[in-house]
Amino acid sequence: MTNFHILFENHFKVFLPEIYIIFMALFLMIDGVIITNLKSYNYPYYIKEMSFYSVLSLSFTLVLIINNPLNNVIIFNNLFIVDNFSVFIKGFSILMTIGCILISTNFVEATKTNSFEYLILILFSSFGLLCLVSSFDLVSMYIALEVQSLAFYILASFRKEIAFSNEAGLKYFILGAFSSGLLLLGISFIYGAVGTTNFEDLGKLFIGFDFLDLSNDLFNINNRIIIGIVFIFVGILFKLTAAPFHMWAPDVYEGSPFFVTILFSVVPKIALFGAASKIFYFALYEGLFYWQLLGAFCGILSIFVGTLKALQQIKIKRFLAYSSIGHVGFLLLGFSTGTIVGVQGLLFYLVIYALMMLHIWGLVVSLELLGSKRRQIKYIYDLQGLAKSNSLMAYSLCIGMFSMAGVPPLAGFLAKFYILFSSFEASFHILVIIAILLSVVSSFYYIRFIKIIFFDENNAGFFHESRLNLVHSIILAVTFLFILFLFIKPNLLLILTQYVGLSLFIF
Amino acid sequence: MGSNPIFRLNKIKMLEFLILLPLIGSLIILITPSENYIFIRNTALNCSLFTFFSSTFLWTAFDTQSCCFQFVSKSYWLESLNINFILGVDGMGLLFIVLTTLIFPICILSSWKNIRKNLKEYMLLLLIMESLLLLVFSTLDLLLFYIFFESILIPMFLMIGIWGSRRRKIRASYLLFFYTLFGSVLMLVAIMSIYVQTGTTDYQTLLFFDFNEDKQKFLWMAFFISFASKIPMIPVHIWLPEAHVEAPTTGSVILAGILLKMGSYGFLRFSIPLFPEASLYFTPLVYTLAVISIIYTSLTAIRQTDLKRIIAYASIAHMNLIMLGIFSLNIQGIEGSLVQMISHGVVSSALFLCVGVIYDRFHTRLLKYYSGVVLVMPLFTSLFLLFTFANAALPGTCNFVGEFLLFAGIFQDNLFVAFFAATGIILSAVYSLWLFNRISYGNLKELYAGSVFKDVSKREFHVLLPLVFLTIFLGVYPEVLLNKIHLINVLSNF
Repeated sequence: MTNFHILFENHFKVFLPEIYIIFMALFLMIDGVIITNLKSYNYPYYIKEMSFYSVLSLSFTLVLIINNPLNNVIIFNNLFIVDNFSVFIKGFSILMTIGCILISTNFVEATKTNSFEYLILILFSSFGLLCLVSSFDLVSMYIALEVQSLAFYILASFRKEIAFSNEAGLKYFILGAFSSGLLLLGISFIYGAVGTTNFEDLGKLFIGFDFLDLSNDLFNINNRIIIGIVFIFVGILFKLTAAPFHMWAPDVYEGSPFFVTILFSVVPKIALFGAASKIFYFALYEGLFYWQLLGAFCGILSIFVGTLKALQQIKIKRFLAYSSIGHVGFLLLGFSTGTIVGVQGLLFYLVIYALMMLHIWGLVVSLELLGSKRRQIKYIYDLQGLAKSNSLMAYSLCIGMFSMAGVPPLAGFLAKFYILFSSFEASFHILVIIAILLSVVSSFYYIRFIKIIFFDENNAGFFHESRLNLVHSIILAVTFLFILFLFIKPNLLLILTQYVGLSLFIF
Repeated sequence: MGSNPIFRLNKIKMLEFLILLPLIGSLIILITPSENYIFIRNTALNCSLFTFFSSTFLWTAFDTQSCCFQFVSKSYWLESLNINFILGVDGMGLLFIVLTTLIFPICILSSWKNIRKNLKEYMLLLLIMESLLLLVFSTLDLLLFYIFFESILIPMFLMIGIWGSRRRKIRASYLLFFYTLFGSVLMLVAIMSIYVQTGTTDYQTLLFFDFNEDKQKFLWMAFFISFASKIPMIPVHIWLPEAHVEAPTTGSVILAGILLKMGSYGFLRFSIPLFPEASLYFTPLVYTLAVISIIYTSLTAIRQTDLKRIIAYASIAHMNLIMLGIFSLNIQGIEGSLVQMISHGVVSSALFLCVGVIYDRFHTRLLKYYSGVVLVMPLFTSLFLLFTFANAALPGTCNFVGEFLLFAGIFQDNLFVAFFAATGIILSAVYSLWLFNRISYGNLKELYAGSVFKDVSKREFHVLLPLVFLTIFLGVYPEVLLNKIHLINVLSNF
């Protein structure tokens, strides 16, 4: 124990971003509690300052993540790993968290939600996400997932005076706990079968297994492992809101306050897909036959459900919830290919999906701020007359929707193309045809937005032609230009994702 | 001439320059405030005229003795997937490029006064559409062709939806969007399949690749569905009359003049050279569908009451005649179909412009409200007469040359089909003359007796003048078109 500091010297260096962010979260919490209770400051609301500090600390975390001194190291007794893949996923999810906070700050101020705690919770959940992505052991992965989920349960029911929000929090908590239970059950099945939970050990152990040899004995070791794999996969599908396990998502999305919904629909998907690729491409790759089947089935089902249910929606939040279920379906299709190209397609899609979602949410939030009565844009039809009052935003929403629908040459098309191409290469021929036909159906409701904005002519003049605030306009401009002009040089992003995807395989 | 390095350099840059020109114009329009509408429309017109002017350089610099793609330029796009931005034209592409650059200034000039709402966005979309169309006709990469082929949908959808006239425009724009999208996603699957097998989507490389016959059938069918819904052939044709009726005049002109040709261009460029056995195998299918389309749409055109609908159905009939010519798979048929495509682009655009001219005065498109226009608008009527005759393929007009060659080709291949297709000629004379007759002759309706009818204005006359010239000139001397496409057809057939 005397040379403890030498033993773990490098480990702390590598783990610095996580340590930094948890310290900053604690520090900001203490700071906020003290300042908001000071009479000398007249009990300030402190949201703007706090969001500035949290964005600052997240940015420093981002710098620390990108700038990590050692690459491809396994730390803390094989609990965590830092490689290019996790660095990319971590960095991107932190970037998206920053974007979400920047979008929502003004909105939180405007709706007079005068409590800074949601920022602290976001920081805690970011800590969970960072640990989740870099975990290299089923147990550490489970614990990190719980840290992140716990913060999210509180965030979902953050507006405690609204019944909807409470309902959302409760639903999220019950189903989240249930899915965590499934996940834990799967982990214990695998641990019971082979006696280890480390990814690398599992991966090496399973190489010799003949998973297709199923005997009648239910507690045969093969069967136990397969049950474990299925349970882990189902647990993750629950968290990802994939199709048969999606019922909680629209309610939670609708009930949660706006700034939380934005976060839910973007950030956890990135981190969870990162973690899932770690588990299934590292540890459980030999069970490909089983989880591939499950993944492809759930992927197609998600696209199906996301498409058909979104057709009926009239509320924007529910609509976007279902549309994100559809996108998760596409992501799962790429994920379940089990090839390098599939992972690359997954990453490519994730980047574009997150930026598109950020764009649409940013537009909706800033439109809500521009609305004359400051009332929520709850229904899709509330967007009528946008083209007349603010044509620039109308056109940028239009481009965003076309991109979500996957119309070329916008970014959404490139994402869909690459992921479908990777699935096609993995011989999912029928699935690709079904997915592509469903994506045409899905473009129907994206087009409906454009119809409502441009072609319907009543209820004009709801929106002021006032100026957006600077932060919103910068974020919207960046995402808009990305969506529109990715076509000119897609190779830069593609090479980045290919490199990162490759680093998952070549250790 | 070809050995001069400076000239060669110019030739290489020419195509990119042509494509970038409308984009530069749209950038200028983008940064102009929308109050400054005179500047905006002047910029749009000048830009499109300059593009046309540059395309005539392309026309003259084109080497008719060479069978290769010319003005080829390659720039990296997705080089890690081996998908690159390759531009180049042969005689066929050249014809469509020049047709596109010709139609657009006319479109902009024709919407000079009657587009009041959102002029800036309108001109922006037009110029972007021009650029995209030039890319469609000049790209030599399968995936990029698909991308540009599809991306025309965005400006077209917005154009019909925003600047269309009635409530029904929403239905029309939806139909346009979904028929095209449903058709063409299967083409994307086929392109993926080609790419997975060959590792490239470069057209020039793929020409050397033989797919096995069963796969060819699948690929051909996937391409066929997408192109056939663009032509459009019979089961998937219903979007076209709707879109034509609801679109503004400019939209109709672009639809009839250029967008429909993307389908037949696709057949000539991709389906036949890449999948020759499948093309031969499916020829009876195409013949059947095309003959049904010709007769059915001609008969439908006769009983329409909407002016634009009549011309729309007529253009479906003509496009299907072109399909017969293409799939006769001999030189006369294919060259005839190319001439017919260009002349249809000229004549049906002119007819839609004529309808636009009288719509601006009468504000109705229903045939029963029109009568005796010749009494008040003689000049217009004589122009309209010329285009009506051209539509019915009277000798001396460009359509005659096209149809003559087409039928020469079809007769060689299948007498039975030629017989049924030839009824289309008679029917085309029926509906064209009926349309002209109802509008021009008879008594002037009392409903309009009080209002003042002006004959075509100077602007409208100059919009129609180039089309008049082309109709007659190409009818008298079609060799202008034919010498650009002779060689490439000979080579692609043997």
